[in-house]
Amino acid sequence: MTASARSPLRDWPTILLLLMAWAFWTPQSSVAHRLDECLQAARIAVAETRVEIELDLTPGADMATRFLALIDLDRDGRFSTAEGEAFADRVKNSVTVKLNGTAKLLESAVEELPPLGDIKAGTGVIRLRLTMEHPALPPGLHRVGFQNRHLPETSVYLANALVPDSKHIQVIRQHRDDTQRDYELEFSVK
Amino acid sequence: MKPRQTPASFIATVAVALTILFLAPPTLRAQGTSAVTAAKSFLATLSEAERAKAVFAFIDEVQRKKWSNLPSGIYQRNGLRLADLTKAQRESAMALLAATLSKSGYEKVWGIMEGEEKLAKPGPDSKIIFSRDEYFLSFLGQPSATDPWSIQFGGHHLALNITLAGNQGTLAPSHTAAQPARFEFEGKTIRPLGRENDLSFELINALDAAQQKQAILGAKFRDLVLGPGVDGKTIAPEGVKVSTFNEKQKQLLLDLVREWVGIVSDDLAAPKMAEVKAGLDETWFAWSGPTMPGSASYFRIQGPTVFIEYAPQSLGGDPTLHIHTIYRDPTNEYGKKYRKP
Repeated sequence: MTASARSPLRDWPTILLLLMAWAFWTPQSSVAHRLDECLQAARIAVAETRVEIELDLTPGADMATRFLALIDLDRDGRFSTAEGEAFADRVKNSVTVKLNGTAKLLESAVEELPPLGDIKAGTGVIRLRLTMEHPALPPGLHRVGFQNRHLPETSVYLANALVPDSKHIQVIRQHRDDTQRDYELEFSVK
Repeated sequence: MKPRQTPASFIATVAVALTILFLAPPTLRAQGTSAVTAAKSFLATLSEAERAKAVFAFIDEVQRKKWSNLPSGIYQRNGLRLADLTKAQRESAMALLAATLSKSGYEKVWGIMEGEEKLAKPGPDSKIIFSRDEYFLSFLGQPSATDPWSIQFGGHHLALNITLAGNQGTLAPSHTAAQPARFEFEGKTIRPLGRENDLSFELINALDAAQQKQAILGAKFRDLVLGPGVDGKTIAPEGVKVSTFNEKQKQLLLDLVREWVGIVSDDLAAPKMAEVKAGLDETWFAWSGPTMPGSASYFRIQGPTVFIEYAPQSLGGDPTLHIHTIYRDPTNEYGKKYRKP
């Protein structure tokens, strides 16, 4: 077989070796942290007359402009208390919390608003607290539903129950959809 | 009448005792003392100004929590940077690590640091630094054989928070990570977190169908739940309870836990492993993702005195090559047991 008539497929071992060499020797992707996504981590705490959700939002550096526009409403380069509260309210309106299938009134609060520079760097964690007060629950099984619809196209979600402070409350089961945007917690009250 | 020891046998006895004392491996000596000696040696290489940068008050809670997975350039650490040390100072710093960590722990740390050299260097406008020399060493308190003190060593993808008190110690909380999680070095394949990965797949595949069904959570976990910055939280355990495990499965789980606990020296790790073993019946193992080895799967081990997560990072690129983990002890974070109230 002459060189010109030689099929390129015969060189597949060489091609494979070259590909393997490229894979090992090419500097690896250096994406060290989230850039164009926001990590939204929810921790759900069930108490005897209250459901509290700690919601940590960590926007990536490439989302900084968008988040700054969402929070710094007067564009003065600072986050005021009022702006933080307005943002918390906005997020609150993007989530649904149900107790035994019924949506309840939620209160929102800002636990921590990081410096602007941290948001721009993609390292800032915005900590919110969403609270639902309710009458004392009777003994038996109950459930809390939590659905997070805040920035769904560009977010990564985590949702986990905290161990209840009360010894009368026990976490039975946690259900999540694949993305963890939809979450349900089954718990028992003694 | 009781026979008297001859002078020759007395001398032989003393000689053997001295040999054992001075030539015994570090595990037969109090490792806390060894770390104290190595730390003091390191501090003695520093100028007064360098020492002031490296040593913080033991009660400095801000510095205690100043650690991250993030690289320099977007996260500023305190302490002394390896790149700024002289050759002798750096050797002394690495000797301190060698005195505090086990052989496998030291190798794991080396692998994580060396992996930085495999990352593509950021562009000229970026402040991010990927380098094996971009790691920081600091102390909380003065090295002491009696009073508690802490060693902080970390940089990108590494944060060791080791608190020592006499012969006791903890590395809770600590963060180990790897990117790339597999690379070549002088003809060898290095996987800094390879044992963790291999053992986890061995464990999930050692479970029977019913156990696997309980262990596998029906959602993707794309990051750590209790990672850096999330101190003081206890999440509700889930997955499969280790009390359902047979002896082989329990041993696999303990071997997996040892990949974190065993980062520190053997004599510090042994009592912690005993503690973890004693709490096995109240320990849970959870999994998310495929069970085929080599997959990008998450797992969690949660017991009364241990919390471990392993989370591949889907940030573009192969998530199996970018891993974050966390090690915590809810009963002894930052060595709180050793601290006076």
